[in-house]
Amino acid sequence: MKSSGILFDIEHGSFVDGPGVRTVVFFKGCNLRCAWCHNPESQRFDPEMLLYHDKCTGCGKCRAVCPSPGGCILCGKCALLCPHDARKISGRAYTADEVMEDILSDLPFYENTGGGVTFSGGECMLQPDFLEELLRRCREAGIHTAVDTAGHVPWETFERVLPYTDLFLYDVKLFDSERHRAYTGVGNERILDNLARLGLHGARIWIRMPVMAGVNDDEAAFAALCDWLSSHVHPERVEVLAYHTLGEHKYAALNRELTRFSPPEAEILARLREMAAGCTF
Amino acid sequence: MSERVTRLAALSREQDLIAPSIPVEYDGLDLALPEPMFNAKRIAEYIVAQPVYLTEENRFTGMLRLGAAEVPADVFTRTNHKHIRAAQAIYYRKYVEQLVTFEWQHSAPNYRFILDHGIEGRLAAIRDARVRFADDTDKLTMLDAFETVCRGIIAWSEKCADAHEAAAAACTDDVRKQELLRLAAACRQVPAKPARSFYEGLQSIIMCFQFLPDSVGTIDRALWDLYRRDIESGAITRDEARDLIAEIFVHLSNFTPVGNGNADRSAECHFAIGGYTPDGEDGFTDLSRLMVEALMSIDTRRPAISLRWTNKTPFEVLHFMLDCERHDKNKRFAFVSDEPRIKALMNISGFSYEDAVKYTMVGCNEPSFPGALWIGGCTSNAVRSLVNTLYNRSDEVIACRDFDAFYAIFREELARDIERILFYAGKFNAMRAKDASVLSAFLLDGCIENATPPNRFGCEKKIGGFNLMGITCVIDSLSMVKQFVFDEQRTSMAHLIDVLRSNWESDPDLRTEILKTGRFFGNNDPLSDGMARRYTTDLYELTRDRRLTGDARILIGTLAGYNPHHMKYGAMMPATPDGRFDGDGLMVGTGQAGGKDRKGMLALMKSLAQMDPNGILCGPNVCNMLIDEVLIRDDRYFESVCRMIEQYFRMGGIHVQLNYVSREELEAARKTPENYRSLKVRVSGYSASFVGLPDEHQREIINRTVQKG
Repeated sequence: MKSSGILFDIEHGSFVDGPGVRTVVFFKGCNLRCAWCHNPESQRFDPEMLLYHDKCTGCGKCRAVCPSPGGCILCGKCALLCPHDARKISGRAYTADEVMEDILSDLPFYENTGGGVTFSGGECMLQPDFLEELLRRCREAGIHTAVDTAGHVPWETFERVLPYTDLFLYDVKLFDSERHRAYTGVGNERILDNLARLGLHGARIWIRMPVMAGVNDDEAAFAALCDWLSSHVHPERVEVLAYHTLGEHKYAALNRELTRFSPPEAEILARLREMAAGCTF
Repeated sequence: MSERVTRLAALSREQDLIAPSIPVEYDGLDLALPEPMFNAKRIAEYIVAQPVYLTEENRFTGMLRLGAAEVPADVFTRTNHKHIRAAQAIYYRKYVEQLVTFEWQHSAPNYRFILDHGIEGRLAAIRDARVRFADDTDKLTMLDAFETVCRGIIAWSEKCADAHEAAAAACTDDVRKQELLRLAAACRQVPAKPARSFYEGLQSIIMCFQFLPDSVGTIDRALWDLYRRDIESGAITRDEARDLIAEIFVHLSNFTPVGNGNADRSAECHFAIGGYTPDGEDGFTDLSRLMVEALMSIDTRRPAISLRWTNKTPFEVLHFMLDCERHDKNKRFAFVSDEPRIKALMNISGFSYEDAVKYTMVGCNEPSFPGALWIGGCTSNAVRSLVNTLYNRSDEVIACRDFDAFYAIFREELARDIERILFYAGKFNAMRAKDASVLSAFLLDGCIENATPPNRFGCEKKIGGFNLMGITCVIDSLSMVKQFVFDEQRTSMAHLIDVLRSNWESDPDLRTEILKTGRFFGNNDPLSDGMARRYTTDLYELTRDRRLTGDARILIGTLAGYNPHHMKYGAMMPATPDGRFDGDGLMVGTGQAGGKDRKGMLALMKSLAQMDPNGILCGPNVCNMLIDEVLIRDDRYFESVCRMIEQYFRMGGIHVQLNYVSREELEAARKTPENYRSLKVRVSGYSASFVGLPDEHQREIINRTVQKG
């Protein structure tokens, strides 16, 4: 099988997405709409244009080269010629061969640092054929694999990738399903169910929890989530990630509404991290 | 660390630890002496006349200042040598033909010889040489001069011994009295005779350092036998040894006084630890580690230190060194690899393996040997050959049907520039060779045996080369010509040259397209990586059969030294096909900047590690990396950073020095320098206060691409 998929980035040399030095393959498209998402360009499945109004000087070069003034066809000519980097197309189709070439080029670094490749997104599990092929080919090449997922996919997708995945980076946002729906657009039943089933399978799991003040930094609720994690999942690590604003400018560039949040207070964050450390094995 | 060393280090930041110089009345009849003897006589008289600096707690002695005196001093600082001053007037920061300028030429003493044989070993060599040169009056005069200097230094050490014996006699504290007597005894022994203990070894080094105040070489090797013997016999403990080393380092740092314009910078004193031993093992010893621990215990600007990494260096050692580096606010650490360099020293410079493994780093980042000079100092403009190709031979390159034809013209220009560089290097060296620099000959190997001073290239080991500014600009520009004109035919050569002549104004869109889609170096891209290999291979082939003055074969480097030569040359060069505007500065070192390395740190490292198949860039090559501070500071990521750097070396990387301050902080430092006086950065193989750097250096550092995790 030779498949292809839509990615919005491949990053060489990540230290924060699993053990060692890693190459991170960012899939485009997600079925959650987390209000705090710092990669809003990852949400839609198709390529899209980001227009950074603060960089635009109105020079008109983009208009001059546009072959389709009536409606953007994502040809990319304007982005190519914009001298101020005000326009950028996010996402394009990649073949598995193309991605594997990129991944394999970093092989010596994986071997020496205990690193590997992380498939992230977006939601990489929503392009299962492409993901499965890449995972399988990485496994054949002896490369450590991690899947970074929010888990809102059919269990069958997990079954497809489990044989080739060394580590799951599993995002958990809120324990209360209704609040989860309010902030992400979906309830969390399937997410937690998949996570528990992964735990039963003995998969290596690192939980990643973005924390926003007033959203999910309530210590009692957090403690309940930790209790559930330690009894159902046995994660190897739980990372509590404070909310940051690095993706804010991309909302305006995508002409989407931004909801602002705040990171939790430092003392609260420290206590949450302490609790999180207690639910690992 | 003992309180006395802490106090000494603090004192050295406020005042000089060397007594003020005493002027000397010389005999006017000296003028009738031949120049070597004139110089030697006055140096010796000056040295012996100086006061001995005594404090209540010093454990070492003998430092004095030659710089302010009216004597023609050492080969490195070039003090009071008239011909070197004349050469500097023509070449130093003059950018002759927009191609060459001349810089410092660094060196390292052979302390191992002095520790094993004493200066008396050199006096014996002088006696032997007199027999060999019995019929050569000039050589005999030179040998007389060398001997005069040697005897002056021995007399100075005796004077120090007398002073400390007198101080001991007057001392009522028994502990201090014993210290003074031990110091006096050491001065009677060294540096005239072999050192009998680790302590005497250190005293010998500190006494000799000032006569060639530059790199201290591989002193962990030089002192290893003495250290091991004293540790095994119980004569000294490890903690005592570390404390003594720290005290020595304070004195070395103090030698460049606070009032000196270069006091903030680290390149005057640079040493190397680790590296291969003659039996092919890794040479990082407990004494190497002790020296690093001593360095970390004191707040001094110098000495700078390079770890010579080998394939056999335990990861723990690299981790230890990088951990020290990230905690060192003075930024004294750099990392070099023996793997490409040993091969280059053998295959290009012509040394045996047994000799090659003895190399050390001197100055900013020049390779040399204990007992030898780096014959170089010529900082050249790599971009001129490219500019000549495009601007002066435009009719020819427009007529080229393929890239190989274009490259052939470029190669002719490159060959021509290399010849001009060597021509000017020869002229510069011929001018400086008119001086008779006699002071440091006893610390260098071969000067006595050849009866020839170091500035006349009397050293036995010949190693040298030149530096090129802007090689990334050349590699990228050649790559852009290949990609845009020949491979993808997005523009014609005639149009590209027209646009360059207009400084991109006639077609700014072409520049935008190049910057956005150009396959630049540092992205592990076969086009630009292949271009780098082609270019460095030609550097190798064009210099392989050429020699510098003194018969040194050629290695090439990329460092700028203390002066912003990269920016000066850039200011003279018109627009280039890599998107550079007329007058924009060039980069220091190998690497990439300005966001052209789009694929991140791993891709950059791969490009760098594989760019030089022949090792021609194993001269003073620097590679700066600006890494996100979080990756360095956070222990969760730091080990992976260490492993990544280890892998970079395994793949062929030659050098790395790290900065990890954010661009925002650097920008803030430029706006309010008064708040950032203590912010240290690695520059061109040395460290310095960021806000104290010339504007051009500050801009170059800010323009480096921050590698995020």
